[in-house]
Amino acid sequence: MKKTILTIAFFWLAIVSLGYAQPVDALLEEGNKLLYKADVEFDLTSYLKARGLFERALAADKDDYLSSYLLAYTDYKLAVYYMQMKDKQKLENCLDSATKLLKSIIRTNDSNAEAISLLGTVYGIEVVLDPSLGPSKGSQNVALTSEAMEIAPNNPRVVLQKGISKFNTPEFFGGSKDEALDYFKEAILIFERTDNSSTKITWGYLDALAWLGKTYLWLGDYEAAISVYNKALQIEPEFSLVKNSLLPVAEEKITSQ
Amino acid sequence: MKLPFLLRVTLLLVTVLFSTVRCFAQTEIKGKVTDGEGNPLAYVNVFILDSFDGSMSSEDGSFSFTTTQFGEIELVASIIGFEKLQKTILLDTLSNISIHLILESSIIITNEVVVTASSYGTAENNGVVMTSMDVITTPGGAADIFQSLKTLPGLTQVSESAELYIRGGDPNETIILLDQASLYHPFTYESAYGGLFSNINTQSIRGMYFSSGGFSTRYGNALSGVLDLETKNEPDIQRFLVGLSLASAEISGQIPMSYSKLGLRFSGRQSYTKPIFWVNGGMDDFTVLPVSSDANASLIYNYSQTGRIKFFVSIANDKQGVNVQLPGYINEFNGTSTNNIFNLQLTDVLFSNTVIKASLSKTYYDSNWKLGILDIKRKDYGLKLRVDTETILSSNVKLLIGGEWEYRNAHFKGVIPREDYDIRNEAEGELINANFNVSRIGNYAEAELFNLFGVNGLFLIAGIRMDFVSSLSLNWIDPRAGIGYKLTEDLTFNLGWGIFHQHPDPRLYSVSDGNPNLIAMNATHYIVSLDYKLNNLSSARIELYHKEYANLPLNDEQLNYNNNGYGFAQGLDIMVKGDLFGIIDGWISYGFINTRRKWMDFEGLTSSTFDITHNFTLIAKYNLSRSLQIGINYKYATGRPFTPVVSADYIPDLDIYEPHYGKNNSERQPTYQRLDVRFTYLTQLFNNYFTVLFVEALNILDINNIFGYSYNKDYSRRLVVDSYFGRRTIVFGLQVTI
Repeated sequence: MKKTILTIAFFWLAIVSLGYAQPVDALLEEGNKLLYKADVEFDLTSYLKARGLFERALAADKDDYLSSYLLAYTDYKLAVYYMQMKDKQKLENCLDSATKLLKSIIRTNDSNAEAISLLGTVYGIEVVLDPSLGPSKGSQNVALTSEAMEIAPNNPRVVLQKGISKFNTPEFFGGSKDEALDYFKEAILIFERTDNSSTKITWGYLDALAWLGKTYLWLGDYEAAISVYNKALQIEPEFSLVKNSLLPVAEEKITSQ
Repeated sequence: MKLPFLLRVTLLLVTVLFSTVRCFAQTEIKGKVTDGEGNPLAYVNVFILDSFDGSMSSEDGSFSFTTTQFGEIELVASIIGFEKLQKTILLDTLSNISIHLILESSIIITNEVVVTASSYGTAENNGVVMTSMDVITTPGGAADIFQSLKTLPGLTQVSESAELYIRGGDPNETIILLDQASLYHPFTYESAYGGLFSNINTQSIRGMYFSSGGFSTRYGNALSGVLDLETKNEPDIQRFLVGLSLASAEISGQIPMSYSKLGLRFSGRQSYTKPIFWVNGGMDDFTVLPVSSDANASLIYNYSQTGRIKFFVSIANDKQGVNVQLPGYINEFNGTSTNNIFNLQLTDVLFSNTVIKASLSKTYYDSNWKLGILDIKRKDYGLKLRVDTETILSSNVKLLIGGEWEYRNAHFKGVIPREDYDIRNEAEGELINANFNVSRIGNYAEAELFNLFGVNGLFLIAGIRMDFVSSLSLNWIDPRAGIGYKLTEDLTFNLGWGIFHQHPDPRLYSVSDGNPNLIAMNATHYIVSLDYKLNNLSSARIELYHKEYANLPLNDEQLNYNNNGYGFAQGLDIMVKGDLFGIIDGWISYGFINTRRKWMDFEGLTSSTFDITHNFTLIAKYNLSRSLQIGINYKYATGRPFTPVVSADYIPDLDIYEPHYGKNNSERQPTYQRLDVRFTYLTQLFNNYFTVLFVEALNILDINNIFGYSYNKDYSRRLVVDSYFGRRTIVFGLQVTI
């Protein structure tokens, strides 16, 4: 009889677990696919769909760090989207949501370089929106991206975001386009020599190429910029930011020379 | 007993089938998501909490998904820009569920239309914005909150003191709050003519709200204005700032002790005036060079995602000894003061829609003023408990409810001159030892209604407050209201009205020389204003106001004082702020005021002491390069009214003249003008430390503005007393962030 009860219990557990056939991992994987599509096409619908999946994953497991981080990253990218669309209210909502999520992650683990670095980048967006926040949020951007570099100097996204910080910070506050260029190159090198397949955080490679090209463009090296942009389009031919915005500008510059 | 094999298999299958039927009993949940106006919302994430079941709404707002959940579930609908909706649903049958979900816009959206009259703040919803950066970079403002606020319209340039003279009101008619605690003496170098600077370091301040009239019912016992300051919350990063200038040395820091949970902020400042007088002259005017020191610290603890406890301490003291020109002789004024503030504030969110803030504060002020026979020690003690709540009832309705209990005790002890015209050392004096207590309870309720009657951009703020001053047997009710309409995306029209009460100075309730039956003073405010957003960087405001005073204390031969005083203040305020001419950052403010009062010893309705007809300020900052900025602050103000001495009688026994005054405020001092210039240079020390270097010339044109008049011995000749910055003064210094 005992054996029978144990057998029943085993079967019961096995079958009930089928009810949870869509685990957090599946939601994150699906969300990541949408997120990649969103980043490539700069597509609101894909961002919102990805956000929905990450939010559901987080609702199912409130302590899941990856869900929190990916939700925060999506909110950050949505903020960038709404900034371009000049939808200030949604932009502020996204920044607020991303900040809260990232602070919550850091509160649990204060050496999480991914979250620290992204929080710095979110603060950077706030400074772009309101330059008077430079002394407060700008210095936090610099401090947080530097802190993340100290924790994880070989994390390509951390290096990329340090570069973004260097690019956007005014020179007298420590910004430097030349240093930004070095950081972007380093980030790309790390992306290219690291096997990214096992990680759930995959963004950054295309962004690093776009930023490198943008920095070359700013420094007047239009040929180098075009070369980097073409490389990005070889990897992802539909990369909207490069295809529709950055590359045409670089080509126009070189034509008008 | 052992069951037969076949029976065991059957039992196993039956048990498994029955136990899992609920897992596989699929219920379809479908429906539509719309906003409050019925518009479909796409890409709303609809899901069951603590499960993986859910979907996203399509373009037409519809959604559907199946779930194996059973019983009571929490259905969540969420999208950026709207309040998250959470609904409890009972899944008790196998039938499908159809549901209509209505999401409300996040309150941040509706708040944007609220631009209340006469208000200025650091948040965009306060209309014309004055940021802490404005305070720090205002030329001549000494990075001081009060001195910088004085560049706003509605604040009259009565003197160079830091006190806030708002629309013809006495500085005592303005309340100053810090994290809900009342600041009764927020100045350094306080004397009978007011203090010179704030003793709260600007580095501690996160936000401020300033109103020159028609303010919310949450603020009581003030006839004219309110300044509500909020200190910074927990720091994210460790940082220290060291500053050194000709006038002061300071250090401030922020230390996150546990990330986003526990943090410390502190600042300390020591001012010294010897170098400044050594460079600019004027040392001979002082017997004790003015020095002050202040220290602020706050410990912030976030005990939950929404709850925060903040403990703020401020300790300040100062001393000065200055030669004062009196009729026929010079005497020495000596003043010292100590000022302590302790405040414990708790902030949290209740029921997911109510923000509650509670504060318990204690303040202590101690001063000693000596001038000739005058030798007064004053001790002020304050205790206050305040609770404010803000409840979001819907995206269009916000409710503010709160209350405060305040106890103040003021004790004066020492010697005062028997006759106010004779304060020589050998003059006759009177001993005083007086104690005044005021205990007040105030409560308020206010509703903010947005999109009133379904009209987008129309809002109404209406509230009522009740105050009861038990120690003076006073009580009053103040109704106030404001209505506004966003005529276009950039243009907002406001109307404000309100009744404001304040109890007179408790000293006037003295049984011996006052009147214990005085009732509360009152003022009725009427305000019309237009706010116009010129572009993303610039805004303009024009405002007309009328303020009617009643029940002011007035001298009375029998009663000492009665409540028959009255008066008015009316005028126009204009401000344009932001990007001036495309390259200059700054603001222009102009205020016109006509104010008259009959109160205290005034014989008729006459210009009040604060009737500064024209006030003009121009602040302009221009970047000469990416790291060098020049800023100017130009001020023009009509001269202050004063009551002249018209004759004097000689008193042989005392060898002194007794002055006789003319009609109250029948003459004016000369026009006040001042131009301050500041150069700010931003650089990095050792390629690492952000550094601000500045050189500032106060009153660069060396215009001899006057503080007031004294007289020769027989009052036949006026002697000019220079203002604080009556001569050109150069200050330079640096601030290094580590």
